[in-house]
Amino acid sequence: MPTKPALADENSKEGLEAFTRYWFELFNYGYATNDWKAFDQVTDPACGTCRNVLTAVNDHYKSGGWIVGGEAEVRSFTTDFVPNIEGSISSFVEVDQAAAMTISQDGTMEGQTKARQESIDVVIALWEDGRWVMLDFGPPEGT
Amino acid sequence: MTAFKVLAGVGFAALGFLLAHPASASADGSGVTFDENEVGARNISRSEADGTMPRRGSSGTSAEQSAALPVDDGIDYYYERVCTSRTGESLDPARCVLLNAQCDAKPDGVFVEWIQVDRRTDPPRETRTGRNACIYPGEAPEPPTAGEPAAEPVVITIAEFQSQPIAPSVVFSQPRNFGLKNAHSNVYAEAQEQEFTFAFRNAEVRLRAWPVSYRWDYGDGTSATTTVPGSSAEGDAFNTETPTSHQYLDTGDYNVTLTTFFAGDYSVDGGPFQPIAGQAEVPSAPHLMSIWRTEAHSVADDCLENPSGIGCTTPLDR
Repeated sequence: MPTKPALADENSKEGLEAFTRYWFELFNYGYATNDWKAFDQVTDPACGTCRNVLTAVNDHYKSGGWIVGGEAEVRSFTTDFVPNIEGSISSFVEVDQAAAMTISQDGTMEGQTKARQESIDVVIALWEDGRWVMLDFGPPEGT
Repeated sequence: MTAFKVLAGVGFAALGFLLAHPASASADGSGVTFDENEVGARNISRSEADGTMPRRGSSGTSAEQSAALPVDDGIDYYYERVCTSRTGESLDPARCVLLNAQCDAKPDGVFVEWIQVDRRTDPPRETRTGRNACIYPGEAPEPPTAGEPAAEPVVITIAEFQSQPIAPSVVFSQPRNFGLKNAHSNVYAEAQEQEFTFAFRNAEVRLRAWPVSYRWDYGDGTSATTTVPGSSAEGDAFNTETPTSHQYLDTGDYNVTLTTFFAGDYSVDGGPFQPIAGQAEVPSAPHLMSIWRTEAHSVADDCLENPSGIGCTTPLDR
C-alpha cells in the first residue's frame, strides 16, 4: 500500500507533482491487488480513462485471474500551476507503462500487452478541502 | 513565429514514432492498460457528492451559453499555443514536440489552449479554460462553447452489449424433469426483457435487452431454434406437441442447453434509443431431462395366486 507523502497534501507545484506521482503508485497498487479504495478516495468518479481501466481490471480479478506487470512510471511532470475557470489545474505527464500479463484462474497466461513509452498525457487535478483530487487523466483533449 | 515553425517541423519528424503507438497496444483486448482505454482528458467540473456524473463537456456550457441565439455575453475566447507561450517557464522543447506531434489528424497541427476573456470587468479578466484543441492550417478553430469539440458519438458495440450481466432464460419441462421415449416432451423457457444503466466513456448509457430467439440443444445431438420461448401445456403433458417440445428417440438422461439471443438498443445521456448491431448470446444453465420408456401389458392374473405376475412387483424388485 503506497504511503502518501506529506508533500502530496500541499497546495503548490511541488505538492501537485508529489500527489500525481502518488496517484500513479495507487494505480500500480490497484493492478497488483484490485484494491482501489485509496485510489477512489482521491479520484473523481468521472475520470474516463480510470473508469475504463478499473472496469477491465476488476472484471479480470472477478473471473478469478490476476495481473502481472502494468506498472506505470511517471517520467516527467510539467505544470505551470495556473488554475483554469473550473478552478482545476492541468499538468502534462509522460507516463510509461510496463508490459502487462493477464493470468487466468488456472494460472495460464490469457493476454499480454506491450510496454508503453513516449506518450504524453494530461492530468487534471483540483485542490479541494485541503487536499488534491484527480479529476481526469488521458491524452490531451483534441489530439 | 520562426521558433514555432521549427518546433512544428521537428514535431513532424517524431510523428512516425508516435503513430506506431496505438498499434503497440495489445490486440488481445484484455483492456487493462492505459493505451487500450484512453479517453481524452477533459476539463470537467468535480462530480457531485452523490456520485452523479457531470454531463460530457459540461465545462463552461451552461444552458444560457449554449442557447441558439448569439447573444453578446461579454465573454470571448482566444487560443494560445501551449508550446510557444509556455516554453522556458514550464514546458521543455522536447515535450512540446511530443505535444504538437499528437495533433496528427492533419499536417502541421498545433496544440492550443482556449483562454476566456471576460470583458465585463475592467480591465478584462483572462482565465484559462483548461480546454485544449488541435488547430490546423486553413481551418477556423471553434472556441470551447461553440458546440462539443471532438465529442465522438458514444457507440455501444456487440462486445459491450455482450458484457452486460444479462440474466439467462430459465428452462422448464413438463412434467418436472421427466419425459417418455417417442413422446412430445414439452420444454420451454422463461425469458425477460431487461434494462441496464452504466457509465461508458464519460456518458451514462441506458441499455434495453429483449429476447428474440432461442437455440435449443436437446442433448441428443439435435437442436432447434425457435422465436418463441414456449409455455406450459395443459394437463399432465406427457405427450403434448408444442412449438418447443421435443421427441427423444431413446431412454436416458439428457442435458438440455438453451442459448437465448437478445436484441438491444441504448440511449446515451437520456438521448433517443438507437439499436445495437448484433445480438447478445446468453447461455442458460443445463436442464436435465430423464427419458423413460413405457410398457403396456394386458393381464388377468391374481397377484395372490401368481406373486411374480406382471404388475405384482415394482420395477425396482426385478
